[in-house]
Amino acid sequence: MTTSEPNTHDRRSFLQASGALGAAGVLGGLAGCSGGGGGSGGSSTVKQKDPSKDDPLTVAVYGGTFKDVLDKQLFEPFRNETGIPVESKAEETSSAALSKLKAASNAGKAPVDLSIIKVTGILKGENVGIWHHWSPDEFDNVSKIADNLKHTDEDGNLVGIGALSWFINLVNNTNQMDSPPTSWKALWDDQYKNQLGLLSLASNSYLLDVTAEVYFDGKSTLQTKDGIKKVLQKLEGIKPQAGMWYKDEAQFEQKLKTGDVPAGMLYNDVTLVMEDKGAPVNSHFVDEGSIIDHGEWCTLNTSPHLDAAKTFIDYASKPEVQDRIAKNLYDPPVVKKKYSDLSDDTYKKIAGPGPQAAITPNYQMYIDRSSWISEQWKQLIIG
Amino acid sequence: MAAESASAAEGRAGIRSRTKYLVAAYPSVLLGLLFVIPLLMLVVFSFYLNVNGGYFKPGFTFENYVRFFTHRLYRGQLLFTLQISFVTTLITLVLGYPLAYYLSRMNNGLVRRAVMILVVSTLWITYVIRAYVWTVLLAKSGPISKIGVALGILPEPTGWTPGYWALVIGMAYAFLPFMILSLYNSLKNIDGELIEASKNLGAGPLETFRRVTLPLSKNGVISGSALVFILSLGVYVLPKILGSPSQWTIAIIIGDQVNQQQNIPFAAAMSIALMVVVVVILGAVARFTDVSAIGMGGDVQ
Repeated sequence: MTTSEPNTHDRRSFLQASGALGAAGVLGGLAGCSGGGGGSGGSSTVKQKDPSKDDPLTVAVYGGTFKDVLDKQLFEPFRNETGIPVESKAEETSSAALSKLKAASNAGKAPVDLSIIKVTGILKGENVGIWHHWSPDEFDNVSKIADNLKHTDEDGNLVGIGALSWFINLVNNTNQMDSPPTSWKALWDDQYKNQLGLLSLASNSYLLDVTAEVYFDGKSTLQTKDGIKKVLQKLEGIKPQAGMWYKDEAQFEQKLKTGDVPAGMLYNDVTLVMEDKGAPVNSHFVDEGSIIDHGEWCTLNTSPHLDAAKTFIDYASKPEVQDRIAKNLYDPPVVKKKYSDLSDDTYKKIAGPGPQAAITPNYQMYIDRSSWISEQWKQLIIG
Repeated sequence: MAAESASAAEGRAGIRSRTKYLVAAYPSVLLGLLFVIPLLMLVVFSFYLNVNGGYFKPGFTFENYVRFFTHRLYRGQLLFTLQISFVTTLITLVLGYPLAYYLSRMNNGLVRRAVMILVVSTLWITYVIRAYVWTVLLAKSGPISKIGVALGILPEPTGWTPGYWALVIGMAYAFLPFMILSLYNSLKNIDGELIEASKNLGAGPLETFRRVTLPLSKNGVISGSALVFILSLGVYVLPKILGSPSQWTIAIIIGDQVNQQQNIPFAAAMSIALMVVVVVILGAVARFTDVSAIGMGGDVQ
């Protein structure tokens, strides 16, 4: 598998025999989870059929506003234009979904046909072989998607295809804060003591990447354990400013709106939607670069609706569809800039200075050192 | 004819005998399917090997258990979980006992039923909603803070969530009905004549409570406490919403291993370790309080 180059898109064993081993095999079989390091995915052996009203193409997306907007701007037009029955499903689409998808895949089931998955999830899913691989020739519009928003296997087949892209900015309650933070350095500034809401996972806050970028030599610092330890040591300094550590943005949204936690890091799209609904909030693209993250369409290799899934991905990759979603969801389109017709003002609102100026997470680090980073990170925020 | 009759009788006896086994087999199969096999699977998975960035593979290693008991992160959060469970149990006992006592001695059946429904009705609402209610009530801009400032109790608006006491309040609120129901069953079964006799023999209300009511409700106290303690050990949603990372219970750490890390073997090992801790604690309680496992079900001795 090849990992995308960061920020180049122009918009953005030991096995001991034991008595338990026999039982393990039997019980592992019972669970349908013999684990395994994975496979290559590839072509499906599942009997294919056309989606119907009772058995539609099922697509997992983020819930709340995301689902509402996508239902209106993507699913409904797709249904009308192609006649393919499609249903959106608000589901966990991050790493949290993988255990469920893996178990379903082992059992030959597909709880959803395709899903928006973040890069770390794509890599993990690829390692356990649950994704269908597509030939690039199968699509008309996928070539218009920015190259760094696609994941391919060793043979150049597509595993993930850019679906949505988003920024994590610094935000504030405009009633509570006269001098809102606009630099990541504010996280270390004691004038914001106990006032900031911060994402609580290493792999969704990307604060390791931010700290490496702002105070060290960027990604090269994160290549070694010693480098990561130095970054973690520096991150000790942000703890006094953390008024809350949140995993789900809804928790922080409430506190930000009431001013209980008057500032922090939050998704630009979510903040703009809050602003539209009258909340006294503001989103700032950060001086040193906001964090850019994205999700890709991944198809479960046990999906019985591969043809419909392909048609859906191709439809979602159309520049006009991407622009429509971008305008309503406040996320930058995933197609190359030359294909987008967004006005400069709209683009600036949803993408600021653009993806080139943003900090791209070192996704592979979160896979290669998954357990260790998670443990170190928890030690940092709990201790 | 006699042979035919004997054969018919044998047939009926045979059916009865087979029915007996069928009746016995039903709960055994159910227990096996729902409890024994899943538990065995958990034990087996806890010795499997994790594949970093992948899933897991069959094998045999003690590494997961060693990691859990030697890393200060997990030890610390296990101790914290035990501590907050103990505090929650104590608070629910102190709050629940007077209410359960009052309910058990209440003569008006209608009012008693109404209060019981009120107590139980909180269980009809999901933990998520109950936790979010407390985040609003205990927020800096929430009503408790505003009333505190208005009454001059608080010098300035104060928020308690996320934080330790917000979590304790949320947990005590969530588990209080379980304590009240356990205590109520026990207190209700105390013979009123014993209390009357104590009074007739000259004991005051406190003496009667200390020498009669409390000893006779001992099983209710133990069973209610054991129930609340075990429920608290497994609490997941409340600390996520009401707590800071330092108040994350071991259940959250286990959930994170499953959902974020996909490290099923380590999560299984942590679950088994937690289960062993619970069994040891309950065993110690049973031994030192002279209450049997059946007694922990709330029966009066």
